[in-house]
Amino acid sequence: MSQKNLNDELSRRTFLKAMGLTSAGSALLLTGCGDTDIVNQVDLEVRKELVLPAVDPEDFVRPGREVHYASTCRQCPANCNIHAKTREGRVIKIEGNPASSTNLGKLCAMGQAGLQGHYNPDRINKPMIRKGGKLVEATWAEAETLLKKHLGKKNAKLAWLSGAISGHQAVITKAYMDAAGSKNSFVFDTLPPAVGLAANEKVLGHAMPKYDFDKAKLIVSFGADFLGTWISPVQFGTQYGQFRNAPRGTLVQIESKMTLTGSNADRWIAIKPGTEGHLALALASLIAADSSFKGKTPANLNVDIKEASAITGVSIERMHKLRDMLISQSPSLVLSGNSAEGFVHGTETANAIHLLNMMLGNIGETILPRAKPTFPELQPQLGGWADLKAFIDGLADGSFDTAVVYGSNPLYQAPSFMKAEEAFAKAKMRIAFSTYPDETTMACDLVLPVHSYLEEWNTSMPAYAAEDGHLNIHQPVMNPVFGKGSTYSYGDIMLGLVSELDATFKNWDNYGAYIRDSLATMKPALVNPPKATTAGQTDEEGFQQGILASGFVTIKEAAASPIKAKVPAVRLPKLAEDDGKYAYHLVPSARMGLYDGRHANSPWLQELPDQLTSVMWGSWVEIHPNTAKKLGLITGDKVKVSSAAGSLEVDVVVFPGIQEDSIAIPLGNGHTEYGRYAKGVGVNPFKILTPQFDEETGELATHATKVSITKIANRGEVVTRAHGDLVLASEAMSQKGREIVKSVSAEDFNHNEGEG
Amino acid sequence: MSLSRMLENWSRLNQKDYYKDEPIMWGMSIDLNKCTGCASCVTACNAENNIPAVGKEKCGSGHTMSWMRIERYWDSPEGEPDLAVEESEYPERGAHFAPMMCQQCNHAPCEPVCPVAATYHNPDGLNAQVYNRCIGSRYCGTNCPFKVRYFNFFDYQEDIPHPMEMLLNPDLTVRSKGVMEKCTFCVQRLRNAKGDQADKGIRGHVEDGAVQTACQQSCPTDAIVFGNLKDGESKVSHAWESHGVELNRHEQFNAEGERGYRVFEELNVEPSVMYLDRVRDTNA
Repeated sequence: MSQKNLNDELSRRTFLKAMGLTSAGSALLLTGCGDTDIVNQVDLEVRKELVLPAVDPEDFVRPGREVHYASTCRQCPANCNIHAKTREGRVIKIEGNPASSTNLGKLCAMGQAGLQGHYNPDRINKPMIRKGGKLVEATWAEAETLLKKHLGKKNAKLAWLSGAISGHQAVITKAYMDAAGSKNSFVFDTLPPAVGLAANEKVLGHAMPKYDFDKAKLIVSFGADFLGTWISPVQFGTQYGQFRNAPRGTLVQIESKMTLTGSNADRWIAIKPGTEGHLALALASLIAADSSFKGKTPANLNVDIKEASAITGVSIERMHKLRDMLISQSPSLVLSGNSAEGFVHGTETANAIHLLNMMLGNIGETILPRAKPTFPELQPQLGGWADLKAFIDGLADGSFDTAVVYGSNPLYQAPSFMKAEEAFAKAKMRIAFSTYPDETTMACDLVLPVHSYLEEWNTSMPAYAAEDGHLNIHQPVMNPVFGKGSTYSYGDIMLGLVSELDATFKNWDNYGAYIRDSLATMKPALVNPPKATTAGQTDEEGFQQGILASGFVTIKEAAASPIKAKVPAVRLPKLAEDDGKYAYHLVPSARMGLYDGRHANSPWLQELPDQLTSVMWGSWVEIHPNTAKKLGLITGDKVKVSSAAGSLEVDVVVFPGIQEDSIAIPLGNGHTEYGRYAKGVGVNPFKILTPQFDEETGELATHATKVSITKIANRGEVVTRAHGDLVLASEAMSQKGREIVKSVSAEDFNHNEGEG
Repeated sequence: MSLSRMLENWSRLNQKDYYKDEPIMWGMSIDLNKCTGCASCVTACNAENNIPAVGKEKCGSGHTMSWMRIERYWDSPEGEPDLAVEESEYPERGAHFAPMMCQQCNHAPCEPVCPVAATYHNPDGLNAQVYNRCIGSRYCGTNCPFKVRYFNFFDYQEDIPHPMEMLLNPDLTVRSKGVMEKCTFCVQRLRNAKGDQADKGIRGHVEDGAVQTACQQSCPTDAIVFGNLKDGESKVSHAWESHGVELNRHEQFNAEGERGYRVFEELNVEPSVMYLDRVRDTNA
């Protein structure tokens, strides 16, 4: 098993044999162990099934029977708990873990497509080293020597960039950075709402409070796409399902580009981009004028409603209606999301929305406090654009000489104005821990191929924990796809590195053992730690087996103290006059599927029709029918979309769910690397964002870019779900009176299906 | 299958008590009040049923293979003016989503037109497709009112680059060129569940909830309910009953407040999938 070779400390593994219990349902074997001595019945080299007699099957392989392993999804920072279904030693399906409070047995499209990331044909399976300007394949021995040369020493000029990170990965990364004497740790992820979280922290004292969607009678969401991409869509999706039971809650969505959440709203309100704060303040002012709110509202709340209506494009009548709903349907929940916060005054907008929640008494009702974490070092760090800017700036001015990137792809996501490539090229040494040949990885000097999330030991915390102290356990659900010694886990490599500098880490010879020991140490701090369940089993064995079979543990937390909200005075700027050259607002819209571009290498997700336009593969720009008419555009035309920072050529889709002054280009495509399914497909709207930043947090104002549109050709290549099918194509917009989707009013629904 | 035999079967199907003697009829209910159109079900189905991605060019030729699709409309059907929006530039009541897959019709129009009886009705109420009998005439696809049958114009599975073929589900076959395919209600899961019951000596009954279709299992809002319509205790038969949809009718008589309907019911194809009305708060 253990090969006494040069990568000894990386490859030595001890194996904990911990067979799980058979749970309810005879087909479902939930096993505790998923370490890497599961046999693969498929010969990877020659792509042939090996005919092995089944008389003496290896442990954990039941020929013809599925075996389930509990682990954790890492397709987005939400980190849902999963059951991976394996057959003959390979994972063939991923389901949600029904016992998990994060996702209650459910999963989203991205989680389902995790298999295509794991088995991706473009996965890197050998280390690569830059020689003579080109990345060439190398052996692990060479890679390890180079890695130790650059990272096996103290270096204050070392900069480390990770994607959203939590659990023991965060712990070991921090331990390494401390040991290496570097303070330059950065976390960058594009979609977690950094501005909103910072505002939450200031106003509520909790960056991520708990939300009770079900308790709310009315949800008013300013651009929070909680069913699509906002923080933890599956968790919020399950809550939404409850929210829609009788008595049915009402959802109002206010945004400039209709999101998946917007398309499910009872009332979708198109608003001029960047004026969400103005509307929130106008609503607050209207509510303050109501006699029942005397004394509960801050002074000087006096907004000219007529002016606010002109600024936001929302009618006075609609504002009054919203005011009435907010007052009568209590408790409510007012949310702010990325499209409201992505402006220079993003924090002010978030504060204006907090003000509404505070005035309406929602805090403590639908917005709930969290306990102070027992282990703050395990908490999720979701990161943001300010970190990316600091990372790039430091590289550009020479403050850093070595750059390490893990789980993030800054060269794809950084807008052109940041000049990320140039800055990155300045570093003397660039190292990537990477699974795929993405833009950043291919610009590095040393590429270390790491395990997929289905191959490694780990722990993590969900971005939004439905239950305080929820710690996810990750375990390998099968052998590494490319065989032993091809890829290693990030944790194993990090453990090797940190033990070079800090002898305490020499106690563990692999990351799995480190995780198990850590969890064993945490045992007294856990709620109901598993005990021995079978005769002859020690409590320790029972514990290790139990936590692997459940897939998560819950850390005891002190009771949460009530939120004392303090909303600072909201200062909204006068909006800049239209300069005529760039007349349209650009919405770089994120969707469930390609997310921020990380899933562009999954053919299922590329081929998954956009939920609203039903376009597959490639990129497009959404334009309102009136605007399209004005510009003489129809679906399929090719246009040039230019901002002050660059331009893109993209096909038009005429789409009713977008505010007339706005256009939207979905995120996710326009990769220059990233394998066969992503490279060269579509365009990347991140690239043409202009340098504007939230004044309070320094986060990139992602929705503040203005653009111009010029038609360049009549014929594009938009492909939709209905393509080629005359029946579907002709009906793609309208039901033509046929009763395919029928509707009833909520009044009737509540009357007939309400309790009693 | 001779014409006379087909006609004989057809008239037998139309008898009112045809379903009486079979212990299992798989059925589904999809609540459009809860469906958000997120397409988790579509991807779950792809993963469960070995469905290939065919690439942009072939999608452009209408060769998409996903058995499940989310239909999305921007207008209300006729007769619901109060649920459409007053004059507006925007779809202010959001979209209309309907997950659409094979409706497992009990009077399936695809069945009698198959020249080789590759598609037939099985005793569990499934509209089954026998791949190795199919000669690819595509009559069935033409005759399907829901357009949920998908034809393999190519051998997509041959082109799966290594190691992606490892994700294939060994419980069902990969389909080759020239064969029609469609949603099976995850028949491999149903067979496993029945097999497990048979191991225990129980035949003709599968406990409610013991088997889930892939789409149902993944759905974040629990919009999809699946089970045995012949089991009076099952969730799905409760849903059908409480929402006023009965088998063997071509027109349902919903009592007030019952939201159930079947798409294109007037065609008398007897779908096994019931939809529940989408709901919108008209006071908002």
